[in-house]
Amino acid sequence: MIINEKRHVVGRVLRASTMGFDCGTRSSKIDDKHTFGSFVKVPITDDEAVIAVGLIHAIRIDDDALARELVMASVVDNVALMDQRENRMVPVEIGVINIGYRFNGVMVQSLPPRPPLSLSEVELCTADEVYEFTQRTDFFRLVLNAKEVPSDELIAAALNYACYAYPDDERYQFRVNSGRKLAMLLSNDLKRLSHVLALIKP
Amino acid sequence: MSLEFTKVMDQVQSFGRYLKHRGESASQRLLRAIEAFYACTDLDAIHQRIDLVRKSSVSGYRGAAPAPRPYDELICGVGEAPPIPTEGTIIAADGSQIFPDTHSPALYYLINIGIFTYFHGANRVPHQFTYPELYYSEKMLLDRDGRLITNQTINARRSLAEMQWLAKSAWENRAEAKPMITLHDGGLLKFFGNADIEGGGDIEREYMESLQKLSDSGAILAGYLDVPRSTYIISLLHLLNLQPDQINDAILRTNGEFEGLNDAMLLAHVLAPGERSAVMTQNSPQNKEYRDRSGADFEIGFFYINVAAGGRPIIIRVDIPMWVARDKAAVRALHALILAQCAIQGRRSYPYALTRADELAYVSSIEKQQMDELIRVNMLQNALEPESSSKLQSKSLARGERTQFRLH
Repeated sequence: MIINEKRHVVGRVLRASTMGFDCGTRSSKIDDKHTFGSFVKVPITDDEAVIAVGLIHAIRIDDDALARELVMASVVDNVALMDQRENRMVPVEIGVINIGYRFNGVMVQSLPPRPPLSLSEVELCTADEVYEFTQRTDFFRLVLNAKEVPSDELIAAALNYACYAYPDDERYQFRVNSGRKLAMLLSNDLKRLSHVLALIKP
Repeated sequence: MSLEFTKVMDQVQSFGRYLKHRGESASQRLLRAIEAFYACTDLDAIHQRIDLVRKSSVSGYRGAAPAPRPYDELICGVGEAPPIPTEGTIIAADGSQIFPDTHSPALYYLINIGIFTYFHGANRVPHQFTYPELYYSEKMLLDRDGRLITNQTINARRSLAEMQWLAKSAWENRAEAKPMITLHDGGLLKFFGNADIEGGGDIEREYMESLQKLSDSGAILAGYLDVPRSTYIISLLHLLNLQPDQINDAILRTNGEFEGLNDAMLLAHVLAPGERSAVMTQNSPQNKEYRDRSGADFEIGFFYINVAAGGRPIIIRVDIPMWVARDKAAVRALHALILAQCAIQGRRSYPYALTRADELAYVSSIEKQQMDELIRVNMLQNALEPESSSKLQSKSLARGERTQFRLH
């Protein structure tokens, strides 16, 4: 799992709203940066004073008629495979839901004031940013109430991802605190709660 | 209003019945043609018959002829699928165009060529290039009488550009692994002499120069024709069926008892999957012109391949210049690599390199609109008023998408 200080570009914004955005990259570029539940950031102003923070909730790879035909061949030709991945314009689309933003250095756990513009560069958050962002748990509600995303799996994946931003001696406490907050938010749905807790259990 | 299918349904059903009837009446003729085909075992007799139509006053024969001696092959013979070379280079070219549109903001046309290079047997990413060229000067847009050039002229210029880029790519890749196959989408025997084609003579001269460059590069040039409707072999069978005194232009205008059949129909019953027919040439003034103008190497020959992996035959035609036809190893490599290319796409037996070259070259109608928009913006930047067509504007109003009422 990549979560360090180096810049890791996930893709560029294709379409966006204040609720979230889709970004795209080439299929040959897909790697550890494109992980379900990763924390990503994207500037929403030119001077980067305001940055939206989101979670990757979906990674989609579209097909086309030629790709479908290649799959039907008895043996997939290796050169054609490289051609598909390196040359053909088959973008990978990454779906992100917004869970907060940073305004003048202050992290806010709510929807950002504006969506990012098309082609803005989306990066992975650094370990420090993930650590700082997850000091509060207000974003849990945003994720759990999000429509059209697998919210239970997403919050669990995000918490498991965030654990790596914590020093070893703080990880356990982070999981316990997160579990407590989830228990509070899902107190009216015990089946769901037990499923999410099972997913974040170390 | 769009097409009312209820009004056309009866006509489609009638069309289907017509096709069925045509197929039934062709089956008897096809049996006779297969019989006549397998009787073509005497190459000397066939050469004599071809000499007769070439030397006499008869000029209407447009059928097949055996390749020149000693490279001729038994007409009814078949070539098995050869072993696939361990390495090779396949360069495919295709082109697309935007025709001039009098409703555009300004008159122009565009030719886009796609070149795709596939390194067979090597673990290398294929190379791909596109070469778009915009033409807007009066010299390129108008004919000698000041009228807008025809679409046939643009098609001819596109064919020339395809061959020129293919030749250039072959030359640049001449150090790559051999055999080097250069694939052109379509037949190699082009007819640029049509009165509708502006500057046809120059186009033909440059086309022949490209063929020369391909030959100099050591490339195995091939024109690939999917779904060929040619009747070269059928015409030959008709010619061989005639008595010498029956041979005249009027009789040769049709294919007699084999009329309505084509070579693919015949060879579908002859060629097993992977097999090819004999290499032959087409007897035509155009082919003679190629030979007379540039030499025997540039006469165009052809053979057919059944590229199906099994089941229903898929007969395609491959055009080759004689410099390729004379080289048995080159024909074998071409045959094998076409089969290898056709196997890549599973159910679609079509060369992968040509599919990709077409994808690279294709200019969609949306891209045409975007091109118009770019030109419009550029004209405004240069303080020019783009021409607007009321006809086109009103059409797009009527054809436009509907907007739904939504409660926000």
